[in-house]
Amino acid sequence: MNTLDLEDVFPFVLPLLAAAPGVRLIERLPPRSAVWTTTALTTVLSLTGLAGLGLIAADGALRFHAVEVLGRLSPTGLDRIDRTGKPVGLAAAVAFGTALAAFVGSALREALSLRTAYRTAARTPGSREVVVVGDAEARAFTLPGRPGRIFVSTAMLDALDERQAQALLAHERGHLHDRHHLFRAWVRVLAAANPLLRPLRRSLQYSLERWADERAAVAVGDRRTVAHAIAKAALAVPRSPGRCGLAFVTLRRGSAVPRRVAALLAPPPRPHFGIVLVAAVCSGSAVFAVLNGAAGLHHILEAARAR
Amino acid sequence: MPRRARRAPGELEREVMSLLQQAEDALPPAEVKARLGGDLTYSTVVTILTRMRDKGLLVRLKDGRGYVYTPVADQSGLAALRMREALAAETDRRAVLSQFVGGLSEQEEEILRDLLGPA
Repeated sequence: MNTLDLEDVFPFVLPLLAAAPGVRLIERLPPRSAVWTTTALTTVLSLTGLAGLGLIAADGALRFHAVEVLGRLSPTGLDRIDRTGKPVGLAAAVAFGTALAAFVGSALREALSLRTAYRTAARTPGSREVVVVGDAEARAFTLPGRPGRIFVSTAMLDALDERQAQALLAHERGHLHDRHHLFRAWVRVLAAANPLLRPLRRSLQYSLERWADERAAVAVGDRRTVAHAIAKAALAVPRSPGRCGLAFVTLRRGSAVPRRVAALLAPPPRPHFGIVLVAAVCSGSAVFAVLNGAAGLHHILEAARAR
Repeated sequence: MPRRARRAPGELEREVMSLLQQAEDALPPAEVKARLGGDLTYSTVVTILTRMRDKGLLVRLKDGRGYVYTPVADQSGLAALRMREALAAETDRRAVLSQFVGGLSEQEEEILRDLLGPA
């Protein structure tokens, strides 16, 4: 069977479609496992997706006379086998080019962002990790770098009691020490290549915050303290009453906060081997589909060369 | 050694401030005392730190079972400038920062643009 059917390559689409509802399951894992599972799954699905599109595009390209001539392939040999048609191949080629451009563009943007962050961190006076800035607006964030910096405004510290402030700093240290910025940048690049992976990107963001939350809970020895710190900090961050068009965005972004608080008030999440297994099977089937497609294309080329 | 025996209160505060600013981390009172040297007692150091904290020059943070002190960067100073730079870069590319609560909301972005934009 020297054919490359669409069915050989399309199975890589199925795990992609499953990814969106799947993230809710992954989010039930302990956050550290959730981050690693999401990152691995996004990596496999994004790269197999690109490869799959590339295969269909390559197969479609064989339909064009120029490719046959350049590749010294026999048209009669190619015609004898049932292959991807011109329109499908062309569409795949366009999609492949777009995805690849998005991938590369995103990689450059993320690298530039990280470089800017590292520079800003390096140019911040002193070498202290925690930089307290006198500011009337409640803010707290980490800036990756060597060393990374944790910026906290006095207004934010005023809004929290001492244990809650300790929780906040432990949360931010968690981001720095576990290098969450690298996970985030990598998954953003992968998701740029494929819009179907956006839910995974969003989910990773949530799981990273949860990971830092659980780290903070270990540091202060009490999950409730962290929950209260998050809630009080969220209320302290100024949020002007939004216009209609923007309210949705704010609501969606803000909605992670109640979930984080709820997760901290509930018992700590337990490892769940089944969920990891499902993710592994998804990844495996995507890889298998692409390898299968690659083998098909290889056979076609061999057949065409042979004549 | 009598070199550091007597200091005016203002001078001592300045010394504590520059010591904390150059420190690699927030410091507990005992460490501040050790780095100041001289014949200051522990309670004198705590009194100075508390006074500076009341003035808003320092903040006290809980660290394990004890407390550590770290300076507050002036709003017009370099550290505050870097903070605003980081937030401005974030508005442009929204990638690197991890904020404790939420992402930058649209409103916050607007505030930042107002702050940096026209002037």
